[in-house]
Amino acid sequence: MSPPPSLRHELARILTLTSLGWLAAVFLVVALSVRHEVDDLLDNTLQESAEMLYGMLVLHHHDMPRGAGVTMPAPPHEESLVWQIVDARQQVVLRSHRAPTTPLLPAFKPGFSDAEAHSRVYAMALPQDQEVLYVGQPGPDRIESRYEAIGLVGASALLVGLGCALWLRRRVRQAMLPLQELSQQVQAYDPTRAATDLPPPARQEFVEVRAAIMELGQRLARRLASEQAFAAHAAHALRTPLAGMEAQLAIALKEASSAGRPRLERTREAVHRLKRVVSSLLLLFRSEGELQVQDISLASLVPHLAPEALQVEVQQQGPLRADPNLLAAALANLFENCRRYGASRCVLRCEPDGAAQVLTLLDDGPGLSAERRAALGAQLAQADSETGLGLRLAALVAGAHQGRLLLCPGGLGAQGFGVSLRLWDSAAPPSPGKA
Amino acid sequence: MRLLLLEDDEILGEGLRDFLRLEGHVVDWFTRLLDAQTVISEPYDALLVDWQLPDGSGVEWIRGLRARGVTTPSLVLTARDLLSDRIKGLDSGADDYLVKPFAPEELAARLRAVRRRSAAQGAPRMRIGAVEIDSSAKAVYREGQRVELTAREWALLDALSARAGRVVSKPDLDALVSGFEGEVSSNVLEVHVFNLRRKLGRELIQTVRGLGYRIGT
Repeated sequence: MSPPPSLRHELARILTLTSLGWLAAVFLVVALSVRHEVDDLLDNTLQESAEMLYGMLVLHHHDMPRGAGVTMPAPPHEESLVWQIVDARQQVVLRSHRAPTTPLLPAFKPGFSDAEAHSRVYAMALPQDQEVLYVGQPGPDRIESRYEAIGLVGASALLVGLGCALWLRRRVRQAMLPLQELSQQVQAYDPTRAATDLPPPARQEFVEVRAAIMELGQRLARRLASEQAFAAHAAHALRTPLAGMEAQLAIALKEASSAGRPRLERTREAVHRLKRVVSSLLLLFRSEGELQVQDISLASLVPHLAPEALQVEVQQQGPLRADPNLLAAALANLFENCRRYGASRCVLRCEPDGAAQVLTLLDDGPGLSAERRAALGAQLAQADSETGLGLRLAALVAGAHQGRLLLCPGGLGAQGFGVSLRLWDSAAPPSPGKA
Repeated sequence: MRLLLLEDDEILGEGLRDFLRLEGHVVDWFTRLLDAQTVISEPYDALLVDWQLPDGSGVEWIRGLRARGVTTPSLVLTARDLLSDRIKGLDSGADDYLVKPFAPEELAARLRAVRRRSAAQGAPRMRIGAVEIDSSAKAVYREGQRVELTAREWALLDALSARAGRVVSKPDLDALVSGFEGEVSSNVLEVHVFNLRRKLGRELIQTVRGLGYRIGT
């Protein structure tokens, strides 16, 4: 199952996308504005230059040379503006030294005109001889100026925008920190220990969340206290009579005749069985799902669990990590089942299967028909199943170990019964009941 | 051993009393702390105390005894099996903790273990001169040969050997051997001492004139 989406990642993604869109929009607006402003500025410069030239040309009209291709004397220099004086026959009679020898415009049109090669031309009529003045700016120069300005302003905007985006990401992360802290506080919160109570809310939005969690915790604590009180009462109410029965039977066995002893022995065995079941039930009831996991040696554990009438062979391959008390309860009940249903021998195997640890118990009893086994297997998957106590306990214990209980197709030999406890099985469905 | 049993459950209390008597112990059974309090000054070898009693907590009672300097070994018998309960029970001053339901045979074995610990004796067998006493098997050997004892003789030897090296007064010895329901005549005690000396050797039990009897040096 993939993890749910992260709020922080979602916010960061939205912020990044918004920032990128914002930057693109800003860049576009800046580019258009700059282009417009630069063109205005260049046009103004062009017009101003033309008007200055106009004055000069009018004042010194008679002193200036005239003729086809004649240029004004000037030191070698780069010209960003060129100018021409064109006579009525459309001949260039005077020009700047980089200006073309042909007119910048094919026909006189006062004011601004766009010429070839993206050049911009400002045209003015001179007062003498029907001459006109063309002042032009080469297209590449205008483009270069325009893009330089756009580049500089755009880069500045991009840098500022990027800086802001990074700063905002950082702020988002910081703003999410209280949520992370709240998660840790909730994780550490134990309703039964006042020391772990949630601290006052760090943000206004957490006030209701905190109140809801605290209220839930208090309800759980009350329920837990009630269950613990019940468990303690049940433990006392169940264990003491059992101890009395044990003691009375021990005396009766000492005092009984040899004829009566087998009957008392059977009664004592029944008391032992009842003890195991009661202990398992109390253990499971009080476990609260908090496992005390440790490495387990089945060879050490099993001799304390199996009934005397059942011969158990242990085959452990690989490690077994489980809660020893819960596992003991499950195994004791499964062994009890083996004995009750007619088995005299069983094999308990432990082997790894991928990440899972599999405990398989096979016995030599009469086993089950295929139909009965299928029905039993289906019942095991239900929380309110009507399976026997032994299997139900074992299923709960498997569930508590993130695993499941499965029925095997057979047992030892031709018949027999088999169950498999798969612990730490990632493929197991959620446990149907509390362990 | 002379035992004080505090258990309010009739079936369990009676069962334990009878079982332990069959094991050769002297058992005074009470169902309330108040009754036990009146006899605690008696010379008991061990106290068997239920946690939950009608008039109070057996564990707190043991804690009170320890505070008053009573060092008699004690076992808590309880249905409480949580780790925290076991820790609390043992920290109250109890020497052992047994969770119900338990086999009476285990209780008897734990009593023997508690007795050995209180006598700073590691092995279940104890040797005094030529006499060897096996408390777990309730057997006595003299120079390797098993010697048969009556129940009362065994109780007397058991009481003295548990206090080896110490003088035990006649009244205390009588109480240890007979409890409240037994004989009170010191003559009977002297007859048992005489028989023990005859079976195990005169040097085993020393008479400390005016004070009582002692076993070992």
